[in-house]
Amino acid sequence: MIDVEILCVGIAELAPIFATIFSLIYGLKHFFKKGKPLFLQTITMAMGSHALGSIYHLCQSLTSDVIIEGFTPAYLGRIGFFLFFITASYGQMDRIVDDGSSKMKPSRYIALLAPICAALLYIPNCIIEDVPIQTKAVYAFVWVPAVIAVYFNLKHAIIPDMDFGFIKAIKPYNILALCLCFSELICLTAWDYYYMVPLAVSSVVFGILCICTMVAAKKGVDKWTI
Amino acid sequence: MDNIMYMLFVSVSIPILLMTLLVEKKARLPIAFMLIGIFVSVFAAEVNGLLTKALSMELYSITAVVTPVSEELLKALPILYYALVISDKREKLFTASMATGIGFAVLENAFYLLNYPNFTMLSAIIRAFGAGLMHGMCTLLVGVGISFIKKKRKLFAVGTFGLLSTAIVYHGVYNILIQSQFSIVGALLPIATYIPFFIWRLRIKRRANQTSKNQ
Repeated sequence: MIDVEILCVGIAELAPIFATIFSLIYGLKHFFKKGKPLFLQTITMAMGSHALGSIYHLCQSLTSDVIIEGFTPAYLGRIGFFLFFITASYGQMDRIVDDGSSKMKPSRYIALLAPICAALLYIPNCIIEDVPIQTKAVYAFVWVPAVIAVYFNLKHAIIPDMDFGFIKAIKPYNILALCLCFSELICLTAWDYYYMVPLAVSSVVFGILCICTMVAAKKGVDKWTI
Repeated sequence: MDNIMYMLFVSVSIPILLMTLLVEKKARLPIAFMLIGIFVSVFAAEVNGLLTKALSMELYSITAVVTPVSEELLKALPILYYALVISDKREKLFTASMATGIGFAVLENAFYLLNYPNFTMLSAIIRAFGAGLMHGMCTLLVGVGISFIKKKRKLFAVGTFGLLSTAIVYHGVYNILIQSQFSIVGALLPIATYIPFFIWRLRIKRRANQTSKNQ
């Protein structure tokens, strides 16, 4: 009989690795071509960044019993993942979709719900007693870019489409990217509490969302050229 | 033996420095960056020593977390400076970054050999293909990556972070594997990365040669 804990940890370690590597290969194949928008390449790099962090975490878990408190290079993968998502949304899309007019104001305010929810998700990680302060501090560094990333994802998912149908085409991508970011935050919280079943479930959800996000991004951008 | 690192640095770097003054202009870039790599190796040894004392962590944590971060950041600094201030030409960055990494590895390997007299020829070969190549590949990744992202301004800041993270994680994975029961996987990791990179370079060169012939 396989221990449920080992099974859940195995799923939690492997599901994100397989999904992010698949997404990375998918992105390298479809998005790194002439004429493809930079935001597609950026989300591919986000997947690559997460894959590296997960691989480091897996290697560390497999080879040693030593638990390193606080920062490890695995977190760089997660921070990079959210930073690339910010670049994809803010750096490349926001100026196109938001002209700064008052028509967009409601969307900007409603979009604040996402960072508030993400920030609230940090509270359980903050109040947990078993986790050392170093780990809580590192989690804060992961949460900051995540909070910014979810704001732009929700904003672009609800903002009215002014012209060309740019934003309407990639709405499914933005909704999926929003869910993806939240699933990652839930994964991290589950790791912190070491709740095995939620951890395995959230990791599988994260994996599925990774692949769906890439496919949705491709389908959305394909519509731009029509 | 306290200053062995400095003795090594002086005995290795001075002949190379003197040679740099005599060779052709084209050959100076790789040699100069190899010297920079050697210097960075000494500097990194000092920084790692200070960090080990300051953080009071066990050896495993130091090699898995601290040294990948400090060494990769220090090795990347001259490359970032070169790319931002002097030239962002891909060929030059390629040469400069690989030379920095290999220079770093040369001194580090020499230091290891002096510190561990029980080293056999086999372990020396493994170290040469393992750590030696790993340092080269990590810095190469930063150099090649910078040449791409420098042209895409919107991606520069996050891209640089991504490249440094990749180099740090790669170095960390190597360090973790090499001191575990999967040390053979760790030793093979750099060569397994080098071969596809070498093939990619070869294809690019061939394509460039064909284009120039056609023209």
